[in-house]
Amino acid sequence: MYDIIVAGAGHAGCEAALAAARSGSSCLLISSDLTAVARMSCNPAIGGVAKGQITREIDALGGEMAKAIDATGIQFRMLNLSKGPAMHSPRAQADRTAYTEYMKRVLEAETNLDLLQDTVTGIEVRGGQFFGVELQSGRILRAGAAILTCGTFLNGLIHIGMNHFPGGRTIAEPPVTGLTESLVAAGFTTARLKTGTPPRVDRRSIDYSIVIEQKGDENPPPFSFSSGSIAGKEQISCFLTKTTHKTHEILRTGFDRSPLFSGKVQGVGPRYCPSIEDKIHRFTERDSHHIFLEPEGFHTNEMYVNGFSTSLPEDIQIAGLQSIPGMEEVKMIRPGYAIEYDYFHPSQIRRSLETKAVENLYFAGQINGTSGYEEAAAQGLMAGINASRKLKELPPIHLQRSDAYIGVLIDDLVTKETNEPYRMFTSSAEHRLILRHDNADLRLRKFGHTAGLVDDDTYRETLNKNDEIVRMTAFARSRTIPAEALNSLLPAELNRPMTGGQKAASALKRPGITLNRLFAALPDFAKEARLISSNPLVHEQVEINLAYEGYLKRELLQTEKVARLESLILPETFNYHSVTGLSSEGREKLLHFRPETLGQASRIMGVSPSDISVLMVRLGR
Amino acid sequence: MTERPLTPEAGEAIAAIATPVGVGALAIVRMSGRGVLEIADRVFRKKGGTAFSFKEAEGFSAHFGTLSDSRGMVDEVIALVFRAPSSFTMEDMVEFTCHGGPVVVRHLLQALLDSGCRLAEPGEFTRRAFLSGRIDLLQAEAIGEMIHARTESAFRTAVTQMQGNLSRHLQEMRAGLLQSCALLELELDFSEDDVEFQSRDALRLEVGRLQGEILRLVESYREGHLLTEGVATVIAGRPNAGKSTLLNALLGHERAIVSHMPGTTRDYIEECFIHEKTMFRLTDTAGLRESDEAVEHEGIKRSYRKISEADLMLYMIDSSSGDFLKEAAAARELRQRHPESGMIVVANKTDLASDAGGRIAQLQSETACPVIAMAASKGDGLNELKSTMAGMVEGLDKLHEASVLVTSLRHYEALRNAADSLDNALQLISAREPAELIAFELRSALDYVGEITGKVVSEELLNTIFDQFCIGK
Repeated sequence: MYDIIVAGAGHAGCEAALAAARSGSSCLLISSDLTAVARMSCNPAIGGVAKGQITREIDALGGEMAKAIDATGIQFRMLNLSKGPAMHSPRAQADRTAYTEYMKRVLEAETNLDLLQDTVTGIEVRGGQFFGVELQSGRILRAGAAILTCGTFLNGLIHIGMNHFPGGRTIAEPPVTGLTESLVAAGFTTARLKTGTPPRVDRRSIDYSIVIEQKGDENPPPFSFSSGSIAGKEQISCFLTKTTHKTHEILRTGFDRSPLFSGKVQGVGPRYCPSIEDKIHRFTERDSHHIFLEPEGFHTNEMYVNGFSTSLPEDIQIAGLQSIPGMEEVKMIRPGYAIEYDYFHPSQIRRSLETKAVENLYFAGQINGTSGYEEAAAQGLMAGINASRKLKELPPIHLQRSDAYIGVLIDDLVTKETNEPYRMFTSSAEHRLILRHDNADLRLRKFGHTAGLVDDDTYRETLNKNDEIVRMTAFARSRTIPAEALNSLLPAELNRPMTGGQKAASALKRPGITLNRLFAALPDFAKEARLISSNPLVHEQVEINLAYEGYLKRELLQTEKVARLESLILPETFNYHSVTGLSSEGREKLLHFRPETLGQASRIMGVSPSDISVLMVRLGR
Repeated sequence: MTERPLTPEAGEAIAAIATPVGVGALAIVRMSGRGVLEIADRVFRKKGGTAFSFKEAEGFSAHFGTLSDSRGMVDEVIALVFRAPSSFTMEDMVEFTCHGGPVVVRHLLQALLDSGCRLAEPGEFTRRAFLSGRIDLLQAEAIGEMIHARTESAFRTAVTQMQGNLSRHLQEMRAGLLQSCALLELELDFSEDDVEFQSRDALRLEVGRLQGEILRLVESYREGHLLTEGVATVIAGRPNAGKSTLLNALLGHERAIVSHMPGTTRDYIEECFIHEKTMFRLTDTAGLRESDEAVEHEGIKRSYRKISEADLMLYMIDSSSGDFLKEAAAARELRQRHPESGMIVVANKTDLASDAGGRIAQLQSETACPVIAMAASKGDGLNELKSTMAGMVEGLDKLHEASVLVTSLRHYEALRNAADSLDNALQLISAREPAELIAFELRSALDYVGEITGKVVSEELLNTIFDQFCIGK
C-alpha cells in the first residue's frame, strides 16, 4: 500500500507527487496518459507578472517547475523592468514537448515514486476518512492519503461553434467521468467553470516581413536558485501583429453560432482571459487587439496565437485569422475551443489543501477553481508537503500572506467567493514589496527545508547568504562615503553637489547609486566590502533593502498588526449560531467558509469588523 | 444554506435613566436583556388591579399602572414593552415613563436594580445595539454624539451624520481613490496588455483633488468637535486674580448641566455653559506661578497641559496690581506658545484700579489680544466677555445642516493619515518613483478611509479594472 496516491499528472500532480516522494512518503502517480505529463495545454509559457514570482517561490520550497523551465525554455524575458524590483517578473516561452519530457524524466528518476497509467473514477471513504481510489479497471487501490489534481478533465465538455463533445483537455483526450459523482456522494458540492484556448497555426505560413519580431532578453537570469547560468542559451523569437476592423467584422458574422453568446456554455469563464469574441463584443470602441505569435518549441512548426482564444466555428476562426496582417495565407493546425469542467469551490478545503469533508483527501489545481500552471503547481507542492506531513503526524505548513504569493493564493482560495477561475495578481498581495522574485529563497527556503525538500547544504547556503546580507548592510551603515566621491557618481543635473560625506547606506538610497559604482570609485571601500561578500546577489539584496527600507518597514508593521488575528484559531466545530451580535450576513458567511483563524474570518467578504470584534470577545480576546 | 432561525442570546438585564437628569415633566427609565419582563412583573401593578404579566404582553404595547419598591409606591408610570428582536438592542426591553424629578427617577431606577437589574455602563444600550448588528459603527458613533449633544447645532450635526451625509461623502472619495488605485494596478499587473495607461500628470491632478477633499474634511473637525464637544476654555492667571469668581459668574444661573449620578451616560466632569447656541467647557486652572511645593507643582503642570489642549484661553489679570504689566508679558508669552488657541485678556478688579482706562489700553497694546474690563465680583463686564467669547468662535452657529462635518476624533485621525499618505503619493509622483510605491501610498490611504467606511478588498480593484479595460491576450 502506498502512502499517497496522486490522481492526475499535470502541473499540480507532478509537483504533488515529487513533494510527497521527496519528503519521504511512498507515492503513486496515476495519469490517463503518461506521455502527456506536465502538459502545457494552453499557452506554452511559464511565469509572467505574479506567476514568475510564484515559480521562484516553488523553487525555493523545493519544487521542480523553475528547473524545468530553465532546462526547456526557448525565450526568456524579465517583465516590468521599468518598474521597481518588486514588480520585476520573469517569464519564459517553453518548448512544450521538451518540458513534458523533462518532467517525465524527473518523475521516473524519483526513487520513492511509481507511475501508473490508468484513470481514477471514484474514491472510497470509510468513517469520514479517505480509504482508496477506484480505477477505470474496477480495481480499488488503498492508500494513506490521496491528492486529486484533475485539471479540466472532470466531465470535460469541449465547444467549437455549435458543436460540443466530451473531452478532457484536447479533443483527442477523453474526459474523466464518475469521479465528480463519487465526490458529490461523499458530501462535496460541485459547480462548472469554463476556459478556452486559441488556435494553433503553422509557423511557415506567416509573412515575417509584416509581423514584428520580439526577441528574448540577452543574458537572462535563471528561474531556479539552483540552476547554473542560462545566459548563453539558444532563444527564438515571438512575433506581434494585431486584429483589424475586418477581422472583427468576420468574427461578428459567427456570433450567432457562438456557444458563449447562445448560452450553450454554462460555466463561468475568466474575465482576465476573455475570448476574442468577448473582447469584440464588450469593447466595441476598440477596432484592433494585439495578437502574439508564440512558437511551441524548437522542433515543431506549431505556433500559439496568443490573444485569439475562441470557441467560434472553425470556418469563422480560419477566415478571422487570415484577415490579420501577416497571416493572410495562414494554415490552422488545430482550432481554438472552449472547455467546461467541474470544480469544487475551495471553501470546501482547509489551508493545508486537505478537504473538510474527507480526512486525508487533498485537492490541488483547477479542481479548486484556479487557473494557470504556476497556481496549480504551487497548490500541488503544498498538498504534497502537507499530505506527507499529515501521515507522519506532523503539523501542516501554512504560508502566511506575508510569506509568499503562494500564501496569498491559498488564503484567497479559502476565504474568497470568486466564481471565475482564480488567477494570481500582484494587486491581491498586500505585502507586494516584500514578496519579490529576487528574495524568494530568503523568504521560503526554511519552509522547504522543514518539509524535507531542501537539503542541508542548500539551506546552509541560504543562511550564509542571509548572514552576508546582514553584515553587508551593517557595513554600509557604518562607512562614510566622502562628498567628492558622491558628487562624481551623482548626475550633475539632478542633484545639488553634496557638501558633506554620507553613510554608504544613505548614498545607496539615491537613484543610480549601486554598490558596484561605489566599489569602482572607492577601492578601499570595495576591498573591505568584498571581504564580507563578493556575491552580486548579496549586493543586490542590500541595495533593494536599503532603497525600499521605509516601505518594507511599513509593510512589516502591517504584518505585525494582523499577526494576532492570524494566530487566533477558530475551531472547525465553532457554534456560530450561539454567538450573539453577529450580523446575519456575517454569520451566514462564517458558516459557509468555516475559517480556521480569525485572520481568515476577517478577510471573508460580508464579515464586518464588528463581527470580528464579537468573535474576538467570544474567543476571550 | 440551511440555517437555523436566529435566536440571539440576550445579555444580562441592565437598566439606566434614559432622559437628562433634572426637573422635567417626564422622565424615562429603561431596561434591556434577559429576564426584564419578569423584573417588570415584580415592580409593576396594572391600574384597576387586572391580572397582567409582561411575559404575555405584545411588543410595542403600552400599559398604565403603578411602580413600587419594597417600601411602597414610587410613582404612576406608563410601561412600554418591546419584544426581541424588535427593539433598539434587539433584546426584550421595557421603558417606564414616570414624572420628572431627580428623586422619583432615582427611586424608580433603584427599584429595578433591587429586582435584578444591573446598572448599565455608559453607552451600554448603544453597544448592545451595535453588537447585535442593529446599527453600524458609524451610526453607533453618531448616536453616541447625539446622546452627548448638548447644543442645538451639535444635535443637528449628529442627525445629519446619521443620515449618512458623511458616509456618502466618504463613499464618493473612496470610489475616487479606488479608481486611481485601479489605474495604477493596471500598469503593474497588466503591463504586457494592450491598454493605455493613465498619464502621471492626470494621476497627480486626481490625487491632488482627493487630498484636497480629505483635507477639507480634516479641517472641518476643528469646527465639528467644537460643536459636539464644546469650546474648551481655560481660565488662566496668577493666584488671586479672580479666576474662581469669574468661573462662578460665567456659570451663574446658566449652569446647564450638572450630574453626579454614577453609571449614567452623562457623567460630566467639566462645567459647561451655553451662550448663543455655543457650548463652552470651562476649566479653572491652578494659579500659574513658580513653586517649590510638589503638590502645587503637579497642579501647575496639569494647568499647562489643559492650556495646551484649549481652544480658548481667558487670561485673568488683576488690573489693580502694581505689576500688572509683568502679567501682560506672561499672557503674551503664553499666547505665543499656543498660537492655535484664541485668547481674551480679562482685566479684573477695574473698580479697584486707579486709571483703569489707561491700564486697559496698556494691556491691549502689550498683549495684542482683546481686553475686557471687568469687576467679576460685581458682575460688571460679564455680558461683554460672553459676547467676545462667542465672537471668537464666530461662524459656528452658522453651520447649516447640509454641510459635512467631521466630529469624531477617530474619523479625524483616519482622515489625517489618509491625507498624509496622499501627500507621500504626490511626492512620489513628482519624483517619478515607480508605480508600485505610489500604489502603496494610495492603498494606505484607502485603508485609512476604510477604517471609517469599511475595508477595501482587492477584488474591488480587479473588478474596477475588468469593468473598464480589455484585459487578457
